[in-house]
Amino acid sequence: MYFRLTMVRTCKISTVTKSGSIQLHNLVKTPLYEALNGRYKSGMLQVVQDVNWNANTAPSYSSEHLTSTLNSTRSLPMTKFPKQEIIERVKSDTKVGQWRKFLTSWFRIGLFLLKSYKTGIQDTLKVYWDTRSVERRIDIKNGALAKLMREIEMNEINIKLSSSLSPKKESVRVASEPFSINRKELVELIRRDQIWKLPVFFTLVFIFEEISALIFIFFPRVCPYNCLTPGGYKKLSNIYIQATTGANANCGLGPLEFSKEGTIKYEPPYSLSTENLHGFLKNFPQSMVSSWKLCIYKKLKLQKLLCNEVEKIYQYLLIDDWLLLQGILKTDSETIKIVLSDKELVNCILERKLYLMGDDLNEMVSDTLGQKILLKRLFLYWSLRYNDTISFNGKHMFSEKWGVNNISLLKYNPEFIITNDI
Amino acid sequence: MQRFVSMLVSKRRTPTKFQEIFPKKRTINRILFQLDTRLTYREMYPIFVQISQSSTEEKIPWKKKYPYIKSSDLIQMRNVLITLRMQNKFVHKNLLAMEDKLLNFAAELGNNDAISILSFNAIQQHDKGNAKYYDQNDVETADRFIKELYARNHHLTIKLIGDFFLKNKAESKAEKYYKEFLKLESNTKLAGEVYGKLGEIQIKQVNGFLRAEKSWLECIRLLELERSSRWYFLLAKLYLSSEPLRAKPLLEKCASIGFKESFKTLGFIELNYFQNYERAKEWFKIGLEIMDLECFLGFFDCCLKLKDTSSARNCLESLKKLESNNNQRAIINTFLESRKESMKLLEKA
Repeated sequence: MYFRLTMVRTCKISTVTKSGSIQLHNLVKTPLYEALNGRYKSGMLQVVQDVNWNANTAPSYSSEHLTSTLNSTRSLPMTKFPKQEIIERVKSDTKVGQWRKFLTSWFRIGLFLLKSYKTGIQDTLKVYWDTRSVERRIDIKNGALAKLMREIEMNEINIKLSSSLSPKKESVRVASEPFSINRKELVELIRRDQIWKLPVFFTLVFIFEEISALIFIFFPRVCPYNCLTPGGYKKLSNIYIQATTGANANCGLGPLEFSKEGTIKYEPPYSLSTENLHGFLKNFPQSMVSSWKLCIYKKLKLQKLLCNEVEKIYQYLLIDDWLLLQGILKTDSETIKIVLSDKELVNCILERKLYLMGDDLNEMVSDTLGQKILLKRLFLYWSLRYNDTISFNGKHMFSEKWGVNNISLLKYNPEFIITNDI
Repeated sequence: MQRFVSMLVSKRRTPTKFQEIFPKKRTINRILFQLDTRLTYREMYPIFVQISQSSTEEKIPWKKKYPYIKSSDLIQMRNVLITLRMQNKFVHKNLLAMEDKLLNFAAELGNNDAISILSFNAIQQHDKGNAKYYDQNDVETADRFIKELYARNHHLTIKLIGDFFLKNKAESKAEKYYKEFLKLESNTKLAGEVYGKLGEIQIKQVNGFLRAEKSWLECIRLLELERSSRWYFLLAKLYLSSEPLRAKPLLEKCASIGFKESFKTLGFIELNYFQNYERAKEWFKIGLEIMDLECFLGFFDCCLKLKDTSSARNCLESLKKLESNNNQRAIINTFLESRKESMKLLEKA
């Protein structure tokens, strides 16, 4: 789509772009990785717990505003369950007699759980209520994600055209309209369907009260996403990675396939079998299709419909990546601090499957080293996908780098993700 | 018998040349049905013959000879020839000259469409510097005609004004006139063409791709494939990265009428996205015949996937021959570099 489609008959430029083989140490040297890492090291990008700023009250182009349009913490589960802290508090409480310390601490833990469920239910309802107008504008279930992708593509074309018109002034860019959706709105649109889990969830909590936590650890899918405890979340993440990266084959890792031998290649939905597609869609943390629909598709072998749904997830991941990177690397906010919530970081890693079986992401994000590891994984993934794209630091458009003409030319070398040092 | 022979002798014979170039009755009848013309083949044919024999300066007593004719019929006859040219993708010199003659005669009979087209031709030729065809007086007259026709809200004139501005890269003005045209006429083939061109203007505007998509969808709804292949292709390009499933049928439509650029794109979609290697190979094969470099690259990959080593070897040889071309050398080298391992395996096989 170079030159905004005027290429018919006249364009002689080939769409094939040059890209050498990429290894892990090369990825670390890429300008995009360096830029991201530089931001993190200089403190411009921070991972913080409990970010809860209001976008409406904060002035635009302030750190608070950017953060609140980037994160949606209310729709994500907690990363740390303060079990030990509650027990310690009860131990040090002199008003509680020694004989009932054990019972009181467990009672308080149960109480905390019920409170968190209450907040979770309230937040799920709030997310559903707040996203009504956005949903009317952007109907993600009926092709709106593809339109957003086209918007990104057009944005890239604008930059390309403006830079080709004035090659010397790199900073001069065409005044483009703001993107039609911010990240918070996008992710909440995806997560708003969690409301349909509320009736079953509410009934279970009503019947079993504190014991319901145990049920949700074993059956995490029954629980709305933001009511999950770290234990349930770990179970969910393990099911997801196990089901989609089985012993025999990797069935769809975002749009990339990481094989056992260590090669990485583009994985279009049409190359997957119906079972794998169904497995991927069923286990995706915030699936956009109901499971009965998926079951019918699988039974009737409607591969095209399953592929369409997987394609929507790929599109969502791309738009999400783009919005996050735009938020972090925005050129006109050199001095503004960007805060990424720890919940969002964990969720990004989970959705992109940048972890191994058995990793406890919530535990990792709670200490600095683990946080660094998770961030490094995310940065590497982004540099693999978006380095040298015109939106961030390069010359090529994303569709030129990863488009149908060129994906076969990309040749990535092993090591990534599988390597132990990440 | 004698009477029959005498009839044959007395009947004025049409020149063999015209008979040779003019298509069969069945073909013309099909086009007449498509265009829903007022005249039948029987009524039209003598006029075609008459025009092929007469020169432009010659005055034909239309009213006397063909009392049933109207100026719009001559324009429809011209449309028949244009449709024929588009369907066959072949331009015959004499038929092209006949199109011009028909236009001139229609203008003489006072057809506004013909006057409008001729006026714009005069202005365009003058702008190009072909003063020998049209002098200053002609241009002034043409200018007067256009102004008068525009004042009368003549549809084709408004469209041609838009075209003129578009050609001179005054896109905002062109858009204005196209929109004016679409207010008057929005459900005809001409409107389809205008929608297509409007889409091309809109895609250049910031975030205008949604409007462009709408215009092109309308365009391909109204126009037949032969005339709208360009916009089919542009729409397919718009969908290509985000919705390949929607782009594929559009590209296949383009390929069905031999749109050159569609073969490689279709091949790559089938190869890399839908992973239907056999079909991709077929598309690339067609692309190879028109010497498209990227089709060579795709064909090589397809052969490797299908384990067709002999075809892969042949393709590689042709590719190395193409390397002499300076423009293509860089791409070929990049490709060969990235396929080193496959080439080694190919040598062993």
